[in-house]
Amino acid sequence: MTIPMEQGLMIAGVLFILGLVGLMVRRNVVFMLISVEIMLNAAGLAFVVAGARWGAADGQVMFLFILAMAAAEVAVGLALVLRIFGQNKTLDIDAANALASSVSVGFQEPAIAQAGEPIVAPTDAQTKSPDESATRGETDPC
Amino acid sequence: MLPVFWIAAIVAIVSTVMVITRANAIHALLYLIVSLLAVAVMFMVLGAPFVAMLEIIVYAGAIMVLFVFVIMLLNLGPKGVEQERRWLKGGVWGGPCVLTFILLVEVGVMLSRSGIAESPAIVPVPPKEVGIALFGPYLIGVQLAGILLLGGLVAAYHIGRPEPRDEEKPT
Amino acid sequence: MNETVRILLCVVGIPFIALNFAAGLIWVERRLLAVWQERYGPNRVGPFGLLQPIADAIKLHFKEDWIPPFADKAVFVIAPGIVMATAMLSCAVLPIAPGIGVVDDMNVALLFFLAMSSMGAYSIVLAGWASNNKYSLLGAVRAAAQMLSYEVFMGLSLMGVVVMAGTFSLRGIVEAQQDMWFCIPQFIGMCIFLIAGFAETHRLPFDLPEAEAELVAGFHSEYSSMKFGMFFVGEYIGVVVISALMTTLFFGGWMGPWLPPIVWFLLKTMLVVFLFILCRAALPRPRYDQLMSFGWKLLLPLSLLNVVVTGGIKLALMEGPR
Repeated sequence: MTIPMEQGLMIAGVLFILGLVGLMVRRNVVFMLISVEIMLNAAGLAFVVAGARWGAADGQVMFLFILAMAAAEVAVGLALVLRIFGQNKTLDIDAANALASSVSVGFQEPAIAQAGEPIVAPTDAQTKSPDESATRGETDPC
Repeated sequence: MLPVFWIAAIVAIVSTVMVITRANAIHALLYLIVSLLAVAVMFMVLGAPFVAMLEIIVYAGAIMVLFVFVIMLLNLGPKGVEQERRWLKGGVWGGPCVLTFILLVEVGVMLSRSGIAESPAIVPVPPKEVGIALFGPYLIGVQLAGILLLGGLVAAYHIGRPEPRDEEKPT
Repeated sequence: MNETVRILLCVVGIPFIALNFAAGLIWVERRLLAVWQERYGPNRVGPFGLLQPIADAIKLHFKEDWIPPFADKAVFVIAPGIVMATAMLSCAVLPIAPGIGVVDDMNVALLFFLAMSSMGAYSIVLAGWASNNKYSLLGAVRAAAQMLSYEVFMGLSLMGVVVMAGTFSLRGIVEAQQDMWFCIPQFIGMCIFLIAGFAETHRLPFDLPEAEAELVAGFHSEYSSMKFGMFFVGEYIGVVVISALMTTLFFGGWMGPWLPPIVWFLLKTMLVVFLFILCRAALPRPRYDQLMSFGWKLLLPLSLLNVVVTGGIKLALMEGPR
């Protein structure tokens, strides 16, 4: 039995692209992290397929590094998710825009906020849920 | 063994499609676990039993439990599912699907024209060989991975620490 | 022909025996607990109450199979299946005696066991989540954190054995104990594995996910009939598998004088099972934060130290140039 090299790489490509679609479509932070996991796993599959082609252990070694990286990424990512939820009371990634210039309420200098406001403000107002924009004023933007 | 490979591949792809279309986070995670198990089966067929097992232990067994844990801590309930369903409605799927499909076709064309058709037979790579490669030529990578994990640990601890100010504030 | 019969016998017989062993264990446990607590235990059904498990099974089958209307139905039904499936699958790699075993020689058998035990965590976590009940959810959160943590120590405690045997294959590990059982050089590893085994099977000293006094049976509050029975039997198969693995990894598996190998294996496994039951009878349940800090502050450094020291000694004793 020979190695299904092209097919294996193609499957990895399909999985990667499914993850990419998920990342672009979703607005929930948890689902975005899940999509990133799908993409990492697809990359790992490509490495293992390529490693099997040469009968070498290198592909598997690379997969182990991806595994370690994914573990570290998920630990930090999920801690950030909990933090975002604690501050914004929503998992909407569009609400986590405290560094955007349009959100001026939390900042000290109003001059910076005015510069970018006309461009971003209309879309921003839609995405914010009412209770979340109310709490924004008290919370520190860090 | 090749039918096993194809069945696993189809299961992986179908369950991954289910992951990105579910509104309920736990259901999505369950499908993702199925997808990861299917990929582990593919690894097994490809002669990589060691990483197949690690895929289950670390990916499906530890990382996904962490996700489930966090989702249970957030405990969004039916409200969260409803909101997610609202977000997924309408034309959000069109653009990303078309664009990524174009990319996929490009990858497929490139793969079919690359002339890697004459593949050798599958040689299983035992765990021992992987270990020797890992702690031989890739030793620096292992050390970097260790540093990365330590960094992740410290960062997760620091970010996840409850803010003392929030508790004092009357809300 | 003979070979086919042997394989068929193994494939059908070992799960069958494991299931019955687990069911019989329920009787054994209740009788033994009774002995240690100075009471009678079940003694009415059959001689010495031996038919009690059968009576229990009949009772469970005829109970109403109730799914709460507020539960997540699909996940609620799947969860008890996962625990059975993973517990039975881990039986597949056990080397019971030379030539007896479902998968004869898998070169990653030990990792397969760890993988299945980490999959088993889902059944509890999902059961608690799908029940959609405050206490069940608390039990599930506890179970997720507990099993995730103790898997780490379980894996690390076994690495000393792997270093000494030089293989992940369970048969290879048994054969490496020809001269000395690993329970002597790997004593720390054995203790950590035993403690982690209690936590993985959530048996009494560490049964915080189901702590009936505080969480109303935790993750399986909402389960009834045979779905509850599957959790119950799954837990006992888990105990049998952990005991069999203790035997394989630390007590020389099927090896022993005079008696046939399979008898030795079953004898040793039963002894470890008795240890599990004795611990249940003797030990109180710790607080949850005590459980966690005990794991991360004591067991983790100890198991890491065990791996480092074992590896160092093995490297020092290695003969010839590398």
